[in-house]
Amino acid sequence: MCAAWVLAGCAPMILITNNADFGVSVLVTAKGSQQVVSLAPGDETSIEVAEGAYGVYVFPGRKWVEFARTKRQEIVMVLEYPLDLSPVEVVEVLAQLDGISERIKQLEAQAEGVACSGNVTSDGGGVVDVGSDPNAVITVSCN
Amino acid sequence: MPLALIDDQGHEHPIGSVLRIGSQGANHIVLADPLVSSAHATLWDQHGAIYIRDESTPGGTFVNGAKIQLTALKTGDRVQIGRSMFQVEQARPSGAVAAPARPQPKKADGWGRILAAGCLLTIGGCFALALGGFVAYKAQILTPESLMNLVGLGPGDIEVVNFRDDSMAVSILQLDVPEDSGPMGTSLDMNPYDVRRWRVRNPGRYRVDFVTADGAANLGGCTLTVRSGNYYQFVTMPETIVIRLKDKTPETGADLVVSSSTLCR
Repeated sequence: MCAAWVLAGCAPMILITNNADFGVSVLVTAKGSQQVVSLAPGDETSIEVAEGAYGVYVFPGRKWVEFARTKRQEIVMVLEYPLDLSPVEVVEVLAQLDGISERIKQLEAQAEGVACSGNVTSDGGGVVDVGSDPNAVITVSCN
Repeated sequence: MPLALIDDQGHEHPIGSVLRIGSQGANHIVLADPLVSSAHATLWDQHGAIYIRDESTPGGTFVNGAKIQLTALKTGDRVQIGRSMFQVEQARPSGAVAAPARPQPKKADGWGRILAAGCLLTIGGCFALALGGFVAYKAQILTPESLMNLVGLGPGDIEVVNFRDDSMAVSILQLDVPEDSGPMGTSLDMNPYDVRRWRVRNPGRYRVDFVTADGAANLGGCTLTVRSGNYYQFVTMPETIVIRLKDKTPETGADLVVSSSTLCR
């Protein structure tokens, strides 16, 4: 992680760990940017965010994966022969691509899933722990 | 009846025993005009007749459109010196003085007025701009980031969406590294369906490469120019990689695919 910091100019990083028994997707928002990471049980990853406040929304992985696969299929269909696309079809592809960001914004706006928030500075990153209770309900904490 | 010069503002300049015209303050009529020499022309009364002499100037003196060296003037003649035009008229009774006219700087001519108006407009424009900027800033229409983008110093963004069913790695590296800074770039390990975004703090030329998670296969790459405020989006699919510069509609479908896009040059 330290090497990545040096290369990226020491931007704050958030370490996310999935301790739940199932796959989860984690939406991290910070200063107008949204990133989504999908983690299998026991996986961890770190992502770079802007300094300041950040928000985390966690939901079952299949929810995001289903959307992603459907969206991919729609894009593949219209982009099968890119060189032959008409101007209208080009705009259609752009709309499909916009759909990805729009879905992420929806997830954030509707606060779907379990949420927490924290703050990061250039001196210190954040730690997000995702877990699940005995009833398979997602839990999350931001430090 | 004594004669006088009437300028294009209607001011009367009686021609006494002698009347000097030039750009320097010692003249009776001072013309602030680059076409007028310091001592440009002299007029004088000699036994009731008025004469005008050009003082061998590069700009010349014109009477009724003809360049002259020395000539007599009569009522109705038009005298041109630089950009200023004078009409020879009978002096008005109240202004019928025999003595030479007092040296007086000529008031701002047409060009002077244009310059003054330009200055006022510039000052007014700057004030309006500053006021508008302040209001927009207070209303949060203008943010520090948008201001930085406005002057080309703001960051750009690269977003990568992994719509493949496998993990992959993305490397983003700056190509034209400034001498006074280290290399800028990052390496993103992405799981299937991840969406990652990297802020490009140093706009410039970047190389983006997509490889499988084990590094065994190259999925594609793009050399692109990131400018302040640019937002590039890459979407990796099983067969292709889509590229898009947000807020810019590509001209053709080929521009949407990394392998053929004009964005990757």
